[in-house]
Amino acid sequence: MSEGEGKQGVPWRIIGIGSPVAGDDLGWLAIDWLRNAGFDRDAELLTLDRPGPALIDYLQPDSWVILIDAMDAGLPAGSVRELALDGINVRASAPSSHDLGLAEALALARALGGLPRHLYVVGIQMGADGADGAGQEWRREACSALTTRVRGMMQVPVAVGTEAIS
Amino acid sequence: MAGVEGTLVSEQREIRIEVPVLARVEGEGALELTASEGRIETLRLRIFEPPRYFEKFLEGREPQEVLDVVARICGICPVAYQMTAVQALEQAFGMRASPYVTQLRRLMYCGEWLQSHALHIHLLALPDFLGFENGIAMAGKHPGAVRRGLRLQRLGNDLIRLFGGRSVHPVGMRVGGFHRAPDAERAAAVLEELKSVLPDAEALVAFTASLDLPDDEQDFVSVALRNENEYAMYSGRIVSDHGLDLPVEDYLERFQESHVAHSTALYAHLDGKPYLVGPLARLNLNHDRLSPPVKSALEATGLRLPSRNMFHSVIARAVEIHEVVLEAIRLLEAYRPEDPAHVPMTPRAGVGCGATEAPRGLLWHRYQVDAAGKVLTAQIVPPTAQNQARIEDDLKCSLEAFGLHNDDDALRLRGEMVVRNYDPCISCATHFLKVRVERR
Repeated sequence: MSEGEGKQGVPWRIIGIGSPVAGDDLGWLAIDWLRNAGFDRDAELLTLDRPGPALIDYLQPDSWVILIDAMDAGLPAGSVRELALDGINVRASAPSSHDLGLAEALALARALGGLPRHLYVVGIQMGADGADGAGQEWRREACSALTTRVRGMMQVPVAVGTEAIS
Repeated sequence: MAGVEGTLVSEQREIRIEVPVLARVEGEGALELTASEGRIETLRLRIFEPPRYFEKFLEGREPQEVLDVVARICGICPVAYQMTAVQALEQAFGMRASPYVTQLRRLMYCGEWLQSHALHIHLLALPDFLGFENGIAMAGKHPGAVRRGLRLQRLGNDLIRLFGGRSVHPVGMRVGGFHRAPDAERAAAVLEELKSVLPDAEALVAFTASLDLPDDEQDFVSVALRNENEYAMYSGRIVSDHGLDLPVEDYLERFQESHVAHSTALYAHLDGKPYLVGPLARLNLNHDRLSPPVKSALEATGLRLPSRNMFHSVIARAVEIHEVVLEAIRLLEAYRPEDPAHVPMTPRAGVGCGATEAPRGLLWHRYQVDAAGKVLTAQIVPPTAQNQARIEDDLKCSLEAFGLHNDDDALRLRGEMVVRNYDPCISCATHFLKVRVERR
């Protein structure tokens, strides 16, 4: 696995999570957008197709990680929110064989002592896509807002467990 | 378990427990039992998740669409559904997969057993036996065990991804073979990883056998595929330990599906009686087909087979992990890419059946197709549906043996442990656990 160097000489890894199809592709779309914006010069950009617990392999304690995932928080489509890690852990439930999602993987990583030194989790509110191209606009706006948010994150690292910024 | 709610109506000597969801089991359902004078009078495993209608969705679909649709039945065992469907369609078309393709399919299937069993043992079953609420709580005290499970699971997914393009809902399979064979370099990388985890896989057999498992002997019928040349996974005849031995296409002659009022999933019976499918049934019926190193590891545990203790399922899964790691190493060492990695599809009207061993047990498909290969009718019998009646029988025996004098939390926990032995996928069967106990 190659690692990009951040502006402060720090290895950043930005990971888009989800399925490449069926409306759960916002993490993938974000990575494409960031790559086109040149973020691959300063960070390793990855997409992971529903990794489950395999996400932990990408969360080494000495790494600097930004996770981007689609979310359903009842917000307007395309809303971008940084999620507080403490809040995510509260929602983590006992994993079942088929339901070991982002919250459970992060809780498991934390229990194993493996959370990155700097970790941000960003959610993009899912929305409907119309056959006539509806949905493209909110996606563009979401990616634009996300780019600004990620750029800021890469300049000002904060400690794990920070409060959400919305 | 989170969210336990309870009401006690002691004046009427009746206790009711509501548990919103059964932890560490996939799907939604409920367990209801009525007991009197220390005996269970009625026990129902209620499955109320709405039917998913996959068999109806498949009507009118072309062969490749079938493989894409059936993969969506389950996120953990999509390979099993694809393998079984492709067998049935090829039989309907009068096609026979080449030995090369058959070996690659078995190799890919090894990946699914590895990832499914590794996850079940380490995150779902072990907390029961080591005294933790769940795998996350267990991880802080037993990080080595959890990391071992995650590593084995990831490797299983790597193997699926090698042939399927991705590990969830893979897309590499087609009627006649695979869209393309993976590069030798990528296969070699997975091979090296498999070799590196072989000691872990072998040690897992002894580890699971050393667990303090409940002693709960019961009488039941084991059913599985049996193959003359290998530990049955991808193909074989359907056999039982009570003399059953029939070809896959004759399944409906002896197995019956039926509705019961308390479940949206169909029940399956063998000659009118419950039966067991899954890792323990397979091990009971096929332990003589294990490779020599696995036989040695198993013999060293002292486990006597056939086993009548469903809690030995965790050992059976570990044995099968050892077997598939060795088998995948053997197959990958012989692997050479071929182009094309399939034979042309030759659709024709007909009927075809397929059966494979999904991680949770026997999976059976039947398709009637038209001259273009489009599906006219489809029938899918998943492992969890076949195990439903056996789970109910097991719960009756286990809870009575455990003792109904135990408090409701203890009964609930024991009941959940019993159910988890089957690693049920109610999503596949169509889904599961509230527990309601009434004592009179």
